[in-house]
Amino acid sequence: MEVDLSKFFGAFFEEAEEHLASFESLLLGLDLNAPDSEDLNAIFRAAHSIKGGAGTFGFNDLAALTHILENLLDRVRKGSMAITPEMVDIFLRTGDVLANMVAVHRDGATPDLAGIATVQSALEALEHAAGEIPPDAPEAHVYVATLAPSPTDWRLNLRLDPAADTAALLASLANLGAITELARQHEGELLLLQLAIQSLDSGEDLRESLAFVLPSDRFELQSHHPEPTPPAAGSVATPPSSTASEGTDFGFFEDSPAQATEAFGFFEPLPAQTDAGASAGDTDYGFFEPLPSIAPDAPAGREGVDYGYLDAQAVKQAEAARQAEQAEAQAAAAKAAEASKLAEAAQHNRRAGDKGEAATIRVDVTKVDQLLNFVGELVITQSMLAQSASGLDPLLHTRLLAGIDQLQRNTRELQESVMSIRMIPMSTVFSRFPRVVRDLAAKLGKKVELRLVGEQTELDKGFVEKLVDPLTHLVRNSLDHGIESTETRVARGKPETGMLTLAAFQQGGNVVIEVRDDGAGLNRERILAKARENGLPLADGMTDQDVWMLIFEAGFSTAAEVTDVSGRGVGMDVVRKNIQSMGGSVEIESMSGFGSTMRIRLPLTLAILDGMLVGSGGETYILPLNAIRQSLQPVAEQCRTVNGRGRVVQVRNDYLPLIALHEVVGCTPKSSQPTEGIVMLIESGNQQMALWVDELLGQQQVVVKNLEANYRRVQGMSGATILGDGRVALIVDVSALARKA
Amino acid sequence: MEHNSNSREHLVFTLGEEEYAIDILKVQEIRGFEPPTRIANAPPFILGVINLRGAIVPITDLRVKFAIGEPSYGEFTVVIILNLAGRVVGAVVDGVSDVIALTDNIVQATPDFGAAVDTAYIVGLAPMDEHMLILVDIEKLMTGREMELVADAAASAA
Repeated sequence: MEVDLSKFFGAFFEEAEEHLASFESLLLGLDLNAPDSEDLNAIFRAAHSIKGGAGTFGFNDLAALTHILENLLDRVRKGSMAITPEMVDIFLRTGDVLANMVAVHRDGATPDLAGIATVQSALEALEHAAGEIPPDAPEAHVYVATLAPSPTDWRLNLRLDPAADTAALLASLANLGAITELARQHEGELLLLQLAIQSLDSGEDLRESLAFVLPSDRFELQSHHPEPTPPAAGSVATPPSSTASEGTDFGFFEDSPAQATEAFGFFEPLPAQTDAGASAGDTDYGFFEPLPSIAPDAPAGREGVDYGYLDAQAVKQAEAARQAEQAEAQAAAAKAAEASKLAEAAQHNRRAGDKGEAATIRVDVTKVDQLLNFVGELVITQSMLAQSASGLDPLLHTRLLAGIDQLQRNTRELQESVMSIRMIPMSTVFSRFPRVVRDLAAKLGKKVELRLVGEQTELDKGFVEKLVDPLTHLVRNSLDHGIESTETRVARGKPETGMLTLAAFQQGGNVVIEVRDDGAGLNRERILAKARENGLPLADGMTDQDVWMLIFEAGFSTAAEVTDVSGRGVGMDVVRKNIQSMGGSVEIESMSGFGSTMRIRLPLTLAILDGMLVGSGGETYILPLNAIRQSLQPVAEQCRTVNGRGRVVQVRNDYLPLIALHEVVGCTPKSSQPTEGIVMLIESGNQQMALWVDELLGQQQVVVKNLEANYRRVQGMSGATILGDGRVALIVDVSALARKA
Repeated sequence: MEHNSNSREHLVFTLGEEEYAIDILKVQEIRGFEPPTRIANAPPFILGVINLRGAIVPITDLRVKFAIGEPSYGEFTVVIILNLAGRVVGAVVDGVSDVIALTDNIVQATPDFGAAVDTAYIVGLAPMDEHMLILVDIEKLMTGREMELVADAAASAA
């Protein structure tokens, strides 16, 4: 499980950084006297998205801090709390701390514990100032406990050059706390010095301070216990003061600083401890200690208290071997952190630059688009050349014509490979969800089976990135609100395991992604009641379809209480916003007691389309080839009218509605009767219809360009493309025709 | 041409008998007219879209929009390609005549025409030799609701 999910960590980190960046820039751009509610919403959503992602991937420290932040932002956004410059400062600092946390998880950077504590208490102070005690932030107190720790005894082993100025060193160390010299001996070239330090600082801080005066391989810091506590399961119950002061409870931030402190000895072991593997289990240096202390059998609800380590909880003690491996890896990470800290002692919060560069590169999408445009132009130039060369005598110009043929092949290959840069299979999105569903189902105590359909459907890269958030929201929503609890399901005579299906497929010119559940379905009455409560405009006798769409309104949530599973009603309006920003749409189908289907429909904005060029009134339009079933020239007997106006065409035993393309686009057709033109049988969704055009002009792969970039959405058209002669042709939106039919 | 702090260069174009000036920084290029692809159900002053080096660019005709002059399209018809807030839009005019620097102090406020003329997009009037230049905030005009070039404007019109 761990391994599966970790490949998405990179994506999460990148997203989190993006969200943090927009969070920061929005905050900075905020006009405090008259904050734009849209901006406040966006700030809130950034925090919300980070929280959601962090929760999904088990970064509970991130999730917890963002949760508090989000609570505050929610109040600001709803207007129940006015935003002040001080708050912006605190929020910005929180952003920095969150960025640090991300760096900690990604690169093993040094956690800024002091910063976390300050920000946390500042946020809490704000919350209290607002007269409300955070109902769901118990984890906060863990930090507060660290603010007033009692002095801890530390043992510091130094290995110094004999020439070193020991007195000056000791004097500078005295700044850290009370120092007692325990032993001094010479070993070969080196002077070994053992000191006892009583300090209020955490081990992490101490080591940091030490790193300024000494190279990291020359000192060694251990906490001093009169008697090493034997590792015991259930030690969560240990009073926080004793654990927190050493930073063990913070284990999560750097896979346990305490562990790092101690594991440190493993790499630069004292002579007595060369056999670290054997001594690991029972000495102070043991890197086993922190892991078992996390209480593998702690109840699920405890993670907020003992701060994280969800995954470690799931690990059974039987997997000790694996833990050893893990511990080793963590120790290595800690070591790496030490090394990098040394290198950049001054800017220790920077992440190590060489991390996260795999075999892929992240390129600005506009660059790819630009490349695509150039290739598109090349294709046009090439077809112009081919056209002009077609009149030449093949005998006299053999080489020229062969060259043009070659150019055509090369251009096509180039175009295809540039296209393929942008297309990636849906499985990259879907494969995150088994874990999400499993964890959520466990959290909610429901039994859910996830089915993935159509993972090979290719999707534009730009969409894939933007799809993750909305899809996660929809899945969480289905699990939380859709699928009923096991008891309810049994009582209703359903199989006790709920079925959640994620399906992707191409339909006409769209990619359709569905989240289907066999849960309770949407509750019309409850949605209406809630909408009324929120003052949304309601019409009498709204269709179910219209009622369902209400849940996409901003600030709408039917969940009676706010859970960290499916938010507080931001989810759905974000979903719709994100999808609309991609030029897509969301639909809901729901049947009470049988489940609901959330359907995301995305246009193939930057996809290649196999198109059929059709002429109508002298203009050229493109129909997506995959929507076309058949084209025929009808005879008069096949064409009928209904009520004198509506036209139908009889094809075999079906009467299909006949739509005239020239009426849709408003031009004068060359053919006055369908019998003089061509009728295309097209299919959209489960609907069939006939489209009357003047003529068929040919078949061509076209680059779909959206009209919104410089213009706006055109009704009935899904986009535009550039033809071989450089002219623009519009692509007919078949599903819009279907709605018209 | 004198450059002081409040002098800015403007592109002067003609619509019928009238001369208009727009901020030259908004102008991306000037090109000859080529027949655009008509867009269904678009208002008459939106002639359609053209392919501008791979980008789909809408073309408006300001003569139609303001009902000035007789719109004719020939080899001398000029399209000003504007870059407004990241969006590229073409505008057909009768001709482009000059680039001049205008200082703010010679620009006079637009007189009030009451309801007869919508002056919301007109920054002011400036004398230029024998002529009068009409300074237009082209960005405000083109992204304005009534040009129906931008999505939310279209939505409110629908």
